[in-house]
Amino acid sequence: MKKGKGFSTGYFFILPHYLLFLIFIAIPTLFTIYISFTNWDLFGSPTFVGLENYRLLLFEKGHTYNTYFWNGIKNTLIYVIISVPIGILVPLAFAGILNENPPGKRFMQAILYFPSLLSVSTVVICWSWLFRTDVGIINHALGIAVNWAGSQPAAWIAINILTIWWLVGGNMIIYLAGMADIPEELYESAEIDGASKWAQFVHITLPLIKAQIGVTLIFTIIGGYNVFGQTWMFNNGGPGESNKTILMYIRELAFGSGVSQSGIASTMAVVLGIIIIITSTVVSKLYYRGDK
Amino acid sequence: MKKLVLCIMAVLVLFVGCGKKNKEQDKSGAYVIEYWDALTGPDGPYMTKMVDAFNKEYAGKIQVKQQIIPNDDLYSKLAAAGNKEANKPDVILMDNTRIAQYAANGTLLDLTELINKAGIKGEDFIPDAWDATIVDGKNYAIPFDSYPFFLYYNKKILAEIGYTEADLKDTTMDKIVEMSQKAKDKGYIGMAVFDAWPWPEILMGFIKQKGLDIIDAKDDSKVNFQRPEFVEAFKQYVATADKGLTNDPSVDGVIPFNEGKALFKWDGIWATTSFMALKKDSGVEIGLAPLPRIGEKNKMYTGSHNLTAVKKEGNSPEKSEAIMEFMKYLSKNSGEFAAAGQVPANKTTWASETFKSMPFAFIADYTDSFFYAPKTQNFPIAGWGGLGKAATGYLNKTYPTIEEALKATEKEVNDQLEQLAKTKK
Repeated sequence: MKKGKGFSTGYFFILPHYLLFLIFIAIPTLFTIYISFTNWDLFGSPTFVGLENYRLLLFEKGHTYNTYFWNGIKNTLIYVIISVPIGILVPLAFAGILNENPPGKRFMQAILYFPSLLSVSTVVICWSWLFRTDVGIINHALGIAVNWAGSQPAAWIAINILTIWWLVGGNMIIYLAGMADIPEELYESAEIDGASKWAQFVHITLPLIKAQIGVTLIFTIIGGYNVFGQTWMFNNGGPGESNKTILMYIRELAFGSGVSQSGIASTMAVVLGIIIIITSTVVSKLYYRGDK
Repeated sequence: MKKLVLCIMAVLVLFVGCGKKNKEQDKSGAYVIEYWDALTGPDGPYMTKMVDAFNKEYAGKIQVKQQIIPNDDLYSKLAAAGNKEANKPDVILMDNTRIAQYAANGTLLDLTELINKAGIKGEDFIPDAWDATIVDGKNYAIPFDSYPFFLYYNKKILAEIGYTEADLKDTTMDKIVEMSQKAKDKGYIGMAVFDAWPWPEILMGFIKQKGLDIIDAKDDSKVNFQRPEFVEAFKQYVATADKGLTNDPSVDGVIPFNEGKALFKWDGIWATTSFMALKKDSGVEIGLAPLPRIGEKNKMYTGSHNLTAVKKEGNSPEKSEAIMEFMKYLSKNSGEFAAAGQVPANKTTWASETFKSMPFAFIADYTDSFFYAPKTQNFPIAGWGGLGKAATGYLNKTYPTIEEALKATEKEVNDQLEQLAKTKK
């Protein structure tokens, strides 16, 4: 846009967004990066320690912060690796089925979307009761006595089941919207050529909602790295901290009981941020490889 | 461009408008006191009732605005307020484990003079509860309540295995193991436990009975969990689990206990009210007894809520007096808070009918056994961050032996304390 009358009008419209971005994202991010080079208890003035926090976190083998960090990253990666494919494929499957306009489509769509309107605490409390070892309906129905919250891999399975139930609707709606835009003629001509429903889905639907899948893929990965509520509420990090994700460590160090260790918590947050940026960029490049 | 400038100004006005002014009085001339507490449990409504009664009695003079905030959020919010006095509360009901930290970081007001002026005397309170509010010779709080940790028992099972309630008044852990075994022989669970929150407070009680604190307030730069007294206390603490007299520790034992299928359970005194309700609802009768002994003398870890005032340079002497009036009122009427399942710290309230009607009224004879957290800001990391993790980790088999659990968590705590020592106060 040329600088002129429209220029200030343009800024007028984007200003609220930029102000909110500045206040809630840019400034806190820059502040976190600064705090990551300090020791700070949230009250006194931060003590500058240079790269010491990064050294302890990444290279001082056996130090508690190093152990916390790598355990948190390991557990977060386990969650990302399990939850991202499920978080894409399950909603895609439901969208594919619903796109065929089966009877009761609207009702099913509402049922599947409903959980994403709930808060994480509501979801986890409900599922915790279902997964209870002693009085849970899941163990009762299956005739088993699995300790879902206190043993592995049961805890990861439970956490992923409740997460997919919670979030299936969000991605599904995006895929359905994308599918609705695909011209009907493409399917008609494919059908005339004798293409099966599966072939139509793979060769028409999927390529034409590639952009939507790409966006949800990146968002699901970012959401996966930021997992907190489910693991915190379901079993508070699990047996031997085997479900304790990096965000749980960050919260515990910065805002747990006792003196705040905001410096090291900020360092963890910065490194996590870098990992998310790298992963998203690599996945995005690989996903759109070959596209013009 | 003019539009742009106007827009920026409009948004700024909006944000500035969101800020609060530190106004001491409301329109009616009453001093306004912002009061925060973390009583999110069933004790919350009892406090609200007391605040409402105060506001009614002091209408036109003092008005208290209560905010109930979950514990950790309360302190994050306090930190977020930074130097902005208007965003800070005037009074906080603070856990005793936080007083040393918030006195050291300059948040809390030294109340020594105001307490003397108001005629509040230390001898009216549980001695150690009063002492827990004094840091470097200065009073930073008025103790409000205390919550020791108890041994709860099922009355029916106890009778069935041939014991009476008197047998639990001054008993040893060995005896508890013996009783748990007898309960197991009759098909019950001896001790109901769960690893997510295994009450490190009980373990701290046993360690104190061996004559030690988990962290030394005078030399709080490190902990030494590997001492023989710690190992011995730990052994006694997990004895019922080690002998197979508990439920599976990784499964919550609350339900079997509430259903009347377990003999014992550790819990804080606040659980008394829910057990009273249990009797009404399902007929399961639960009693409570002091902590068993592993040493010569009984010692029970006790937490406390304390009325603290936030230091605000801009406060007038009248406002400070209004704050003290409110704190004094709560302390004076804290007998009613016994119904919420807490022991009022002000002993003069123990004559109230409410206190006398509570099943824990016998505690009046045991206050010498109460002990509170060492007065150091490093206690929470050593206690819940360290010893709590050792207990959980041993019960859920992360650590195969007690020695390994203590060694690993000692290192975990000491690494953090070393870093904290480098943080400017």
